[in-house]
Amino acid sequence: MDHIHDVSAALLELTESLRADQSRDETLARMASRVVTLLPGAYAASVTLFEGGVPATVAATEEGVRTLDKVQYSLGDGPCIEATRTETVVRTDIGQARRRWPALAEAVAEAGVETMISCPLFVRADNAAVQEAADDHHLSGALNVWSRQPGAFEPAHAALIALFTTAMSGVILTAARWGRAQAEAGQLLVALRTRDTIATAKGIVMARRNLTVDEAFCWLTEVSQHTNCKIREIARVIVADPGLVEPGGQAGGDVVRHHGRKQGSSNP
Amino acid sequence: MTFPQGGSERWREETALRLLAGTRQRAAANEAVGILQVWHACAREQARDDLDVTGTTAGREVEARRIIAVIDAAATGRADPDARWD
Repeated sequence: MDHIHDVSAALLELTESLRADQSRDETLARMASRVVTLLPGAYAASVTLFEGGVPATVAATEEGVRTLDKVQYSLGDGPCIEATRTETVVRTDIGQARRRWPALAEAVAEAGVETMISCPLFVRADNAAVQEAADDHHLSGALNVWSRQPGAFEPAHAALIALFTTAMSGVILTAARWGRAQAEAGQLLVALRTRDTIATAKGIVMARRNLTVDEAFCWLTEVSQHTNCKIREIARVIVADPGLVEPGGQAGGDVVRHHGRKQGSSNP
Repeated sequence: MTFPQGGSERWREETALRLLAGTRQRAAANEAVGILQVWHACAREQARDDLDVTGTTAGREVEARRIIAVIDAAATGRADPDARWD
């Protein structure tokens, strides 16, 4: 129960200290460090995340375990891959590893690791928009914990790790949602700038041809249709050279005909 | 990586209205910039500076409305033989 209390306190602390300026991977690294501190016998921890079906170690408390993760990625198998694929906790020791994944066992032995446990990250969401973000990136993964002690990680410890994987899944989903929001904000910004250019072009057309705001937009639309150019392109050309807009009463459809010929000011 | 609460329906409506008003003000300011570009025969950046004579958002908005109103009052668009918006 002490461990559960410690883990709960650590999770609370981590949750309260989540910062907007800290990246997803930095947050996951802090959480992985907590796991190592709190889990008896733990030597190192890493977080594997599949994005678009491609696995990568996004956080690790020891550089050495990144190599162990990479071996699994290249094999396409191992406790981490199996935990992600089957969505179950996979605990194994060096003996079992030699039988099931000899190449991994060799690397594990070199690192002095005796026992390892991988817990799947359940990147699921009850919010449809967030789930969509997770699905878009095909997010899945596992928290991997390594021990240099034989027989480490009792079943009760798996439950403690599961508490962390739940929190980590939340961080990953939040980051996915954040990324999606940032991308949408970026698109909106581009749209807003395009609107700015079109509005400025409208003003130029109003002044050059003595039109109201609505009439100027209709005029731009007509020019767009006649020239088969997008309004934003027409607007960009006009803003760069207002003299291309023939003064009121002259042929308006030829706005983009006279590139390079600047007309004089019609300042009232 | 924390998010503000979604807020009430009223909060959302007020936010949407603020956004709409802001977008309209921005469009008017840019239209006025275009008009000033023609009047002053200058580049867009210069026209932006010219619009911002008061150095305040409110002043810019009033000036933009005034400039647009000048053009609107003098508009002869409906007599334009090339325009087919009727």
